[in-house]
Amino acid sequence: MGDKPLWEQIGTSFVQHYYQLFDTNRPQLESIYTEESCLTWEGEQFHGKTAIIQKISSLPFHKIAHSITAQDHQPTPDSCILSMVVGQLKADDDQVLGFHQSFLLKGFNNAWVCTNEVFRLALHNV
Amino acid sequence: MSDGDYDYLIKFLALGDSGVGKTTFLYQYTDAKFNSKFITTVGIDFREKRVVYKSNGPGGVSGRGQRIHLQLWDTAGQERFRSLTTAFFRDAMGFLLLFDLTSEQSFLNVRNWMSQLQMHAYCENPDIVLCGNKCDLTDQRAVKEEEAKELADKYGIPYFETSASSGQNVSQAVEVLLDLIMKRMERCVDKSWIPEGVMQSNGHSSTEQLSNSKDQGKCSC
Amino acid sequence: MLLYELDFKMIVDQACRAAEEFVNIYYETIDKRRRVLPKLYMDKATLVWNGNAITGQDSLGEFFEMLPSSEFRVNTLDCQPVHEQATQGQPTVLVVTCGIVKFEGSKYRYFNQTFLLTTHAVPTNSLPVWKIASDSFRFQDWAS
Repeated sequence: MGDKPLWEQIGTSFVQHYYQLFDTNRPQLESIYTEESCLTWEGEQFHGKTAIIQKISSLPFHKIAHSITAQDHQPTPDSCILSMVVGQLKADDDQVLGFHQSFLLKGFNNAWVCTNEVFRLALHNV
Repeated sequence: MSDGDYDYLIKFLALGDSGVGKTTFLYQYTDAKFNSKFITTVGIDFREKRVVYKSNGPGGVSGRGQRIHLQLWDTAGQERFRSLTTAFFRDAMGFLLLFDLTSEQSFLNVRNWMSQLQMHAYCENPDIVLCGNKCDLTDQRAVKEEEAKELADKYGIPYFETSASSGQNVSQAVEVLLDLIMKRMERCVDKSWIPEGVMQSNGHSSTEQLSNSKDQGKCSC
Repeated sequence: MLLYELDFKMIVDQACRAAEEFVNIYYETIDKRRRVLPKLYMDKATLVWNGNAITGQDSLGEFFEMLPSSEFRVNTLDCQPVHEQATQGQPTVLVVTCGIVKFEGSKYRYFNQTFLLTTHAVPTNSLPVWKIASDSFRFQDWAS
């Protein structure tokens, strides 16, 4: 991992950390958001860490597992990191569904926080 | 399976909270003999079954058996992540609304599912059968039969206590729903121009006619 | 709703309207006026296309010229304002689209795209011009 650019290391670590917490203990994701963070979850908007954690924690499943197919990270002109993840997830005993998720990360007090996040299932109900 | 050798193609959708047993119910009904087709990118899981439907004509005389190709759709769990869109509901002709007899919350949510149906389905009073599933788990029952029956009566829909694991009442629930749909079609579709004994095309003419009445505003049946 | 939340809602609505307009222009440009597509990007913008990073007007120009002609159809669009805590003062919007695309010579594929749009002040024009600062594109296909 030492050869990779810094933003890629940070992005990859963040993504790993995020899904690990999501899959094992969602309320602990609280530390990655701020009072100004925005989440759009399947088209619904949430603003601020409290509202975001409430939404994520209340999703109706007991078990969840994410599997990442691809992740892309790039530095932005404002020294943030833009990360995009494409993958699959499985909730309880349901079928595997595709998803994609985008994150904007900002360095804050020696840690990286997520200021913006968008989640969508890979569904095309046309 | 889709060899075109049937009279009607009928689509049902199984609805209800995650975990109430929709997938097991449909698996049970189709005897697990037919492969399920999961369309990953649409989030619809569906199974198919061929049945013969016999209606009673006027005067109680049994008509010719109609060959029905049933498509049973399942939400594939997407409702855990999002509200179901109208696109999901609109092609279904009938709905199997399931709740779990061991989960009071899933019973309370029947009201929400009914509102969604009234909003998104092809008309304001679509054909629905309510099923209280997992009736085999007698020790864990949390909803009384009378309560459920009362709710079903309020909506004017049939109620069955089913067990997707044992099969109890599964076929009956689907058959009653099919009967409701076929009777609705008989009312809505003017068949007077179709001579006796002439086969209809592969279900498309009847569904098209149903869609036509949908396009003209809500079905008046 | 608190006054703060009302203001925030207005900001979101404004951001989303700008984003929708931009997205329409972007996909029309990529389909029908490919040559001028690089103009929608800032000078030092980066595009990561299925894992390949492309930076700057010249490289973007070459890349888009080489890309076969396209037919895009957007199914969903999500946008959010990016709070100034994450920007250096310029209004910025995060936009995520997904849909279907057909490139000439290939069959239809599902795609996801994430943009960071930022305003680019043009002194002679009172309306802000939005340009892409960052862009990330991936296909999403499943064996079904």
